[in-house]
Amino acid sequence: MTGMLKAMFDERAERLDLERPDVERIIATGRGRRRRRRAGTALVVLGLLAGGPALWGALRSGEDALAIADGSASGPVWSQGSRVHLGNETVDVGRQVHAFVRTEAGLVLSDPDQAVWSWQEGHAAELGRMRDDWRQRMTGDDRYVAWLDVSDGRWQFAIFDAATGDVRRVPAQVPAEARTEDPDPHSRAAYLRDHINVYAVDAGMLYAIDGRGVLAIGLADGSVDVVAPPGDQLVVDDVQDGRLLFSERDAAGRDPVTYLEADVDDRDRVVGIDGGDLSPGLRWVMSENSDTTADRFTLVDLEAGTVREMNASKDYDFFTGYAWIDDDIFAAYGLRLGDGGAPTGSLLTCDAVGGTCEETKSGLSWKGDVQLPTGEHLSG
Amino acid sequence: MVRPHDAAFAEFVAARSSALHRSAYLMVGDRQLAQDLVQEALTRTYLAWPRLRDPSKAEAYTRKAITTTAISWFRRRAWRNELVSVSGSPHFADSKPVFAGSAEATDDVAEREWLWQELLQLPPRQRAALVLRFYEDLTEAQTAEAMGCAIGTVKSQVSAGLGKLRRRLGPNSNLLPLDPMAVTP
Repeated sequence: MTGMLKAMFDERAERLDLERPDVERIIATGRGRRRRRRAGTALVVLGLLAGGPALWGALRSGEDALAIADGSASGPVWSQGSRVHLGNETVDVGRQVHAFVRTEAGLVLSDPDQAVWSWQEGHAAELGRMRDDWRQRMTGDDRYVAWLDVSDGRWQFAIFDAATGDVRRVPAQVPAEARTEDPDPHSRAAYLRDHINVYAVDAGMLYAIDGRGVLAIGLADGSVDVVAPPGDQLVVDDVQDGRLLFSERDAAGRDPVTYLEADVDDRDRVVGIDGGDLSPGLRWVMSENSDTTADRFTLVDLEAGTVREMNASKDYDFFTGYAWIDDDIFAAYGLRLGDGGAPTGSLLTCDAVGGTCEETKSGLSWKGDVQLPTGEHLSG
Repeated sequence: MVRPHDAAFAEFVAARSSALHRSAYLMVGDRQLAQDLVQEALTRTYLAWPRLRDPSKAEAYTRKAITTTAISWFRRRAWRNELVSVSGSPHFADSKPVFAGSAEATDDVAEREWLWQELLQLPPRQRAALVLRFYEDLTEAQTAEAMGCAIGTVKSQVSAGLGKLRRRLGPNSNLLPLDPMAVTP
């Protein structure tokens, strides 16, 4: 029986005055995104510790700016000291980069004093300031970059629009208990202290946490909606196409359980990881940790419900994926401690389907001055 | 340069975008928003094309991107208020409620207008579930895949959505399916 409902749907759909999608524009946008991803621009969570002093300074313009802006740089992307390497291009930014991400128009960086800067077309502009806390991060997409800003003494979610150069600030609600010194590590106070931050950007929304709970903040208009109340003590790891990868913190201190759901009220689909990054096509999720073991890289095939072994990970003392380049391809970092020598790092491109990796850059020194385009500081 | 898979993708867009756009419109009730949704979903599909290839897989992939993104947007944007604010825009000009109550429904057109307005008031997941089941004629399993949820969730969302519409329709509730399971397999 179709009845009134189906008749209404059919009538409404038929009435619709359709515009044909611009296929050329779609393909051009897709190619641009693919180039940027291949250059290592996907913005992901990488749970490494922070530290290390640096400053932001002199900037270069010219061809490098163009290469960054149009995403034409290809190859591995990293910074070392003051130099940002974008495939075959190198931008000397004058002083050490603490953390950085790429946008469609340039770079957004933080310096060791926690100042946040944009760099577009060879020009730097100070955008704000982060908390001096190792958990601080930037997250975003091609156009928007967000962070928890404290530049005028108040905690605010700052959203930088790379297309316009504007920064929108949305006040964060910070309960007094979040400032408690040495709270019980399993208390709500500790949860707030550790987790008031930005987490992911997806479909025009910034996902963040403050005293109100998990928030979805409109990137374009700053509208705020509460996705989950604070009592749930959720942590959002990633969001892709409206699907949330999140974990529920356990007040008793047990290991958190990670879920993948379209709604945080559902807790049916458990993923055996602790934190992680969803692939663009939602086939995979990768994590630095399995659900039981920290620092054990885990790649889950969400379609098959199985864990994919990456043999290349055994070649390194520490190995983790840090950015999805394409639906099945991800960028990874491997660290070898060496036999009494200095540790050296490698950047790799890995195929999730084949379980194989290829080094794209090796011999990176590891003194805390190498950074990847993840929005978080990697400590040495 | 036209690459072989670009040509295949363009063919897919030409063949299926209208249907996807109509479905997106029914989910969000806003032509421009539906267009944005479809554009974004097709961009993601293009990125995934080398893996998808099969047009049926591509359509399922695009539909999932549209559905989950639509749910995400509307759940988080106090969507009822937005619908009120946009109801005077040109593409809503033909969709004003014909009457406030349900008992006085006098003809099919008026009933469908009223039902459309009532549908706009449903939570986004219930609405998406109804569109996928009763417009797209998807099975429960296909609907679950498109919504990124369990089959049981689809059942509960459809049941809740129909229940609300039925209560609002009152005497006309027999115009809606009583048992969603009896409507489509």
